[in-house]
Amino acid sequence: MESSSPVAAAAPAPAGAAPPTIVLEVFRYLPDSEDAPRYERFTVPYRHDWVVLDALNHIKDRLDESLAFRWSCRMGVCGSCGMMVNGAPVLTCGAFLRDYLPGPVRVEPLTHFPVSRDLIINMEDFIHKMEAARTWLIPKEPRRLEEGEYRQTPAQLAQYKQFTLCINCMCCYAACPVYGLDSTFVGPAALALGQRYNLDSRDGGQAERAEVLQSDHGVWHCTFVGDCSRACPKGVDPAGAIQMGKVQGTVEYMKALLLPGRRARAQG
Amino acid sequence: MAKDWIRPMPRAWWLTRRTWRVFMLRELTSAFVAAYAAFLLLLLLRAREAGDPASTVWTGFVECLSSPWSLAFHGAVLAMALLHTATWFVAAPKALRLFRGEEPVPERIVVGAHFAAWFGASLLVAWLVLG
Repeated sequence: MESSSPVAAAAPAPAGAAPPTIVLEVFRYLPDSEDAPRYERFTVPYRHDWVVLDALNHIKDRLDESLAFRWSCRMGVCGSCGMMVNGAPVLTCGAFLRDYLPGPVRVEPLTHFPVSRDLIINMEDFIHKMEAARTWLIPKEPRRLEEGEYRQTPAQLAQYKQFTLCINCMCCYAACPVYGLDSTFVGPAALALGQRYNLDSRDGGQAERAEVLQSDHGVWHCTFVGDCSRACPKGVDPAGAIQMGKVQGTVEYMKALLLPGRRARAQG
Repeated sequence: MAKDWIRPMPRAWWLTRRTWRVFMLRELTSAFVAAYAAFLLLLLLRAREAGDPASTVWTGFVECLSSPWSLAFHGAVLAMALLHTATWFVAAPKALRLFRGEEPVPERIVVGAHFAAWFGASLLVAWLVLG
């Protein structure tokens, strides 16, 4: 089926000018009424300043209100609108239609995740992994409120700051073939955020996190493809965090092997 | 309750993206490096016979090395070893994040230091072998 907006009937643009419309091929999956997914073509107005998310909202507002997709902030902060656009995982609020001319633009749900409906993926597995990796601060020393805040120097902050920019958009999981082949892999974002807290001078949860981060499903499952870092819309480097985790794990292992006191403590 | 749709990875998944093809090529270089390590072990075993004038094992082995197949093998290993080294040096800053105070040391410095050390080590080996 092809749907068209009223703008599609406008006169053709002169040669060399931007086209009046652009075609989107949208992945549709309606589990209540259809057995398998399909692609549906929509013709939407082309605007120089429109992003793919604008086009999807145009479809939902004017052409087919049944189209389901997630979005919220429209400014690259909430991490809700991650989708595959022409095969690459991106935030659709930052993917300009002008970069996909002349079209068609294929829009699909983030790959490697189960699809619940249309462009909406089931993110339960990701949430469980964030919990398993204990992606929160585990204070090194508990303090009472009256003892004041945990202090940190700018140099200590610099050690982990870039990893705090993760917005949980899951583009890195869609970029990672290791996760696609074996979903038991903890995955880039959860490992990077675990490492973010491991690098925090206020944190004392390294040993607790090591159960997951240093397991067979953790950093050692990563084959260092590096696409997670290339796909990250916020410039976070999960591949780097994972390699640092490998170095850290190796150092801890060697210390436990060579220093008898540490081995006894680890076994105790 | 509605059922989620699962999309399995295709068997030839690594052919579907350029970066994945490059990754597989990088991994393949390890096989060539391992093959050359095996060749060096064989070379050492044969070299034990080099001092024995009655043995033809060493001379036969050296003759074998000048065959077109051997030259092709060495050419392929050289190309793959160069690619292996360069790709891992470029990836090194991911595992080696250095800071100068609050400022991270630029990746190009870390990569450059690796290449400089490689060049220096190559000069040393060349001097030992040819000098």
